[in-house]
Amino acid sequence: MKKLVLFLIIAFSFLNTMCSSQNVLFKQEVTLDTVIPKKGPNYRNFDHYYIGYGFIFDTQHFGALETIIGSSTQFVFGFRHKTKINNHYAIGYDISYNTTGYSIKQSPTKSFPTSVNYKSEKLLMRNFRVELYNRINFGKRGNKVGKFMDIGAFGEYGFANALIVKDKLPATNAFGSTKVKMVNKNPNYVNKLNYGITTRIANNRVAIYATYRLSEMFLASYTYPETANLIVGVQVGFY
Amino acid sequence: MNLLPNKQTCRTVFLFVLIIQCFSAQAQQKYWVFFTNKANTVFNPYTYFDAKAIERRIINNVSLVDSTDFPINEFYYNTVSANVDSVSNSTRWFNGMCVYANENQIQKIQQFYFVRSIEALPFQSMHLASYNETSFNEKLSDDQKKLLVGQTTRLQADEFKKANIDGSGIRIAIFDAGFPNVDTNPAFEHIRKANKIIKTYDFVRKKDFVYGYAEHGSCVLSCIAGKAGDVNIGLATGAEFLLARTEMGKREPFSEEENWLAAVEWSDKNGVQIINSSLGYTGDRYFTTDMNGKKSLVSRAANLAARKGILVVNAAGNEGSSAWKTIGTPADADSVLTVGGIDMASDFHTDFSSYGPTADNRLKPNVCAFGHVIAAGKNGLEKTQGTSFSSPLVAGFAACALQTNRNLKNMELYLEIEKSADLYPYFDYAHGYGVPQASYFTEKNKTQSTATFDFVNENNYLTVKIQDAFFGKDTIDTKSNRLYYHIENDKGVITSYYIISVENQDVLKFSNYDYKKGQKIMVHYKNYTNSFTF
Repeated sequence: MKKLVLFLIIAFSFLNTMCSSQNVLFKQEVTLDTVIPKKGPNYRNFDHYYIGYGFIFDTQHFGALETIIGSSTQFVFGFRHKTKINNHYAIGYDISYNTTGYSIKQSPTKSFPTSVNYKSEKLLMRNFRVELYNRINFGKRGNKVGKFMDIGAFGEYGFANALIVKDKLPATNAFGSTKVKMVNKNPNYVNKLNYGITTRIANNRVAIYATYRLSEMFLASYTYPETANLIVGVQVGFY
Repeated sequence: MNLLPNKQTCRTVFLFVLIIQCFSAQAQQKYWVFFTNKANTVFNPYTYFDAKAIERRIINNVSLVDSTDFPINEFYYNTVSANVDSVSNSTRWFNGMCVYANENQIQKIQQFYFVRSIEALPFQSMHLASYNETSFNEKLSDDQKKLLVGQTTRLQADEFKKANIDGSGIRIAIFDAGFPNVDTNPAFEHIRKANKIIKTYDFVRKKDFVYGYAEHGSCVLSCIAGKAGDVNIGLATGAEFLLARTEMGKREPFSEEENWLAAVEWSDKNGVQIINSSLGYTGDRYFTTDMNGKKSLVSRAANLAARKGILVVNAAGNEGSSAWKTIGTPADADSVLTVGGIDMASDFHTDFSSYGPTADNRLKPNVCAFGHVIAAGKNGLEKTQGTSFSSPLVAGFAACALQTNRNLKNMELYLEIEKSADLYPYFDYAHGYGVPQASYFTEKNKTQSTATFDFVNENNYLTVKIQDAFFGKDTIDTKSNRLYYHIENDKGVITSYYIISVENQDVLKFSNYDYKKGQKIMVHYKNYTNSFTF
C-alpha cells in the first residue's frame, strides 16, 4: 500500500511539472538573480579566509634579545568577519592560526636561554589568535572591499611552542652524523598568553599588516631579555 | 622591561604611516562641481551646432534653444578655476565642471552662492565589454569565414544590400579606447576614401589624434562599417563617423564618467544620430541594485542624449557568467538600446553576455546579435568575442534602418528595431526581443505570422499543443524547432524563462493549481507568439 501511495505521489508530481520529456536548452530563474544578497564584500556582513606572511623586526633597546631580521618570520592563516556600519566604518573579528619563529642571533653577549652559541637557534610559537578590529573605508565603491585601514587588538594562546637548536658537531657522533637538532618542546619560561595591537592597510584582497605585541614574551620569574615585538607583512584574502 | 620602540621600529612605523597617508582622503582628488543656474549666458544654436545636429533636432521635435545646451556662466567657471588646482572637463548638459582640488579648496568652493552641489569622483574602472582576443592575422579558417558571413547574415544584411542600404548619410559616434590603424588598415579604406571620418577627439589626452592606443575601438568600428575584402564585417559601410577616445584601454586604470559625458555633448553638437558605446560600469563603483538607469551620471547623460534625438546603442556587458551577472551602466538607462550577445553555434545566449532585467525590473537587453565575431583589429582580421561587438553590429543595423526612413525619431527607431527582432513580441532577459531583422524595414508587405501552437486548458491543466503542420517527427534539436517560453508574475515581471527543443506535440503542461491569478505564460514558436493568463 505504501508503495502504491509513493508511486501515486511521484506520478502526480510528474504531471504537475511542465513536461517530463522536455529537452531544456536554456533556463534562467530570474527570482534567484534578483534576490538582494545579505553577504558580500560591501554588504552588511562579509566573511573570508586569508593567508599572510610577515617579518619580525627587532624593536628593543640595547640588551634585548637580538633576532635575525629576514629569517624571523610569521605565517598566518585566518578567517575574518566584517560587519558594515556605514560606507566608511565597519567592525569585525578575526580568528587565526599563526606560526611565528624568532631566529635568535648567536653572539658572545647572548644570554637567552643560555649563553651557548649554536649554528642556529629558533624560538617557534604556534598560536591561536582572536582579534577585534575597527575598519575605516576610503572612497565610494560598489560591491568591493575597497581601500581600508583596520585598527584592532588581539589576544593569542601559544598552544605548541618550542626552542629549536641546530648545530654542527666537530666530529661524527655515535649515530654517524655531524649535524644535530634539539627540540625543547613547550619551554616553561614562555608566556603562553599574549596580547597586542594590530593594524592593516589594504586595497581589496591585498593588505599590509603590522602587529605589535604589548605583553612580555617570557614569564616575569625569568630574567630573559624581551624579544622583538613588531611584525610587518602581507596578507592576501580569498574571496 | 622597556617596550618602547627603537630607531628601526620608528623607521618601520614611519613607512607604514606613509603608506596610510597615501590612502587618506587629504590628497588631491577629482570632483564634479555643479552650478545653480546659467544666468547671463547667451546661446546661438546656429553657430554652436553642426547643420546635421540642427536637422536631427528638427526631425525629433527637439527645441534648438534648450537650457541644457547653454554654456556655463563664465564668471562661475573662472571663479572655480581660480580656486582649484586644475579643470579636467566641463558639462553644459549638467551645468558643472570637473576639477582637481583638495579638501580645503572644495570647502571654499562650497561657500560660493552659485554652487549647487559637489560630488567626489572616485577613480574607477570602465570595463570594455570584451573578452580575450586571439589574433589570426589576415587569414581566416573556414569556420572563421563562416562566422564573418554569419555575423551580418543573422541580421539579414543581404536585405539591406539588395535595397542599396548601407547607412549612407547617417552619422555615428563611437566611444572607445582607441582606434589604432584605422587610418591605414585596408578594412577601413572605403571609409577613408570617401572622407567619412568627420571628426576625431581623444578625451583622455585632449587632442585630435585617436589612431593609436587599444585596438578595441578599431574592432568595434569594423563591426559597424569594416570590410574584409568583398565581405562586409558590419552593415553600415556607407555611414559617417565621429571617433571619440574616452577610455584608457587595456590598462583600464581609472577612466571616468566625465569623458563619456564630454563625448556625448561633443557628439550632440556635431550632429550625431547614433552613438555606439561598447563599455559599462559595474561593481567597482556600483551595486547591482544601482542598475536602475538613474543612479549613474553616464546613465542620465545617455537618457539626456536620447531626449536630444540621439539613439544610444550600448553593449549589455560580459558579466553573465560572473557573480555580477547583470547589465552595467549606461546599459541600464531606459532610452538606451542595450544589446546582448548570442553564440553562432547555438543561436541563443552566449554565457558571458550580461542578463537583465534592470534593478527596477525593466526589460534589458533590448535586442541581441552575435557575441563572437570576426573584426578588423590593429594587425588584421581577428576572431574576438564580447557584447562590445554585438553592440556595433546593431548600431550598423540601426544606421541602415534609419536610412530606410530618415524621418524616424530616435525613439521611434528604437521601438522599430525592437519590433524587427525575430522573437518579437516575445522577450526575455537574455535575448530581449531577439536578433533584429532587416526584412522588417525593407519589405513593403509584411506578412502576419500564422499560429503554430494552441493553448488547451482542460481538466485544470494548461497544455501547449503544437499544431500538426508545425510538428516534425525529428527529435534532434534544430534551430527551427525551438520553443521559447517565459512565465510572468502578475506585475508583468518575468520570473523564469526557457528555450526547449520541441520533441512532443503536447510540448508544455502546466497545472492551474501551481499558478496564481494574473500570472502569464508567453510562448514563441516558429515566428508565432501567444500568451495565456491564468
